Amino acid sequence: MSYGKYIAYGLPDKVIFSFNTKDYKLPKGVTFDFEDGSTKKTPEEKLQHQKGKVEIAIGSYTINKGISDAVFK
Amino acid sequence: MKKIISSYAYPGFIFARAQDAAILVQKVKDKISLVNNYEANGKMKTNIAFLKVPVATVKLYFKKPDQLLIKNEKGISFVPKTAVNINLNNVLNNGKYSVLDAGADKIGSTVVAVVKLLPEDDNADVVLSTLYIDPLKLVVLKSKTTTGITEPMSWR
Repeated sequence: MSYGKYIAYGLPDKVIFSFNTKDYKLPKGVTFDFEDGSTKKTPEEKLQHQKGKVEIAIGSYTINKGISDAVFK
Repeated sequence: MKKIISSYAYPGFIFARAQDAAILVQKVKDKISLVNNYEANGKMKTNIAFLKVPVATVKLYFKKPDQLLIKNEKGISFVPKTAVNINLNNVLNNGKYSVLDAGADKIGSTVVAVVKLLPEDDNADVVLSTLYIDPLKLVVLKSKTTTGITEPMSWR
């Protein structure tokens, strides 16, 4: 996490979230084209493919202005 | 004499360090407790080997105690459910935990205090959280969360 102008509230400007993809399951009914396994991977490549990363760069916050519960439903 | 000093002094030293770590965590908690809710605009980049996901414009909504929504303005986005922990309110205000001092480390050129949070609830989803805290700015620069569950990837 890195901080900028919202550091007084402890809110980051950038968050990088890493996780092991092998621990996650895709929702039912969602399909993707997976690799066919025809190419051999090095151990480093296999390890890398078990990691996922989500990076969120936040430009602006509106703080303590109230949010309806309906937003989360 | 040396043995007596070490056996009596050591537990006290450990207790003092644990107490310092607890105070530090409390200060960080006080800071982020200033935020009751927020709405934020951002860009989300997803890098998962088996998914090709374009950079998305997202809105984040947070409301105390633990509601967090990451909404993709165009289409769907895949976010692990544990991503709620990107909001430290969800880590620090989520039940009772024991605070352990795990020493110091460096992130870039910043010296950080390493603190481990052990939930007191045996059935908690989170088994262990490790926080890397900048003790001067009182912000968490990095956190590691270990969960005891395999969970589906949430998507919105």
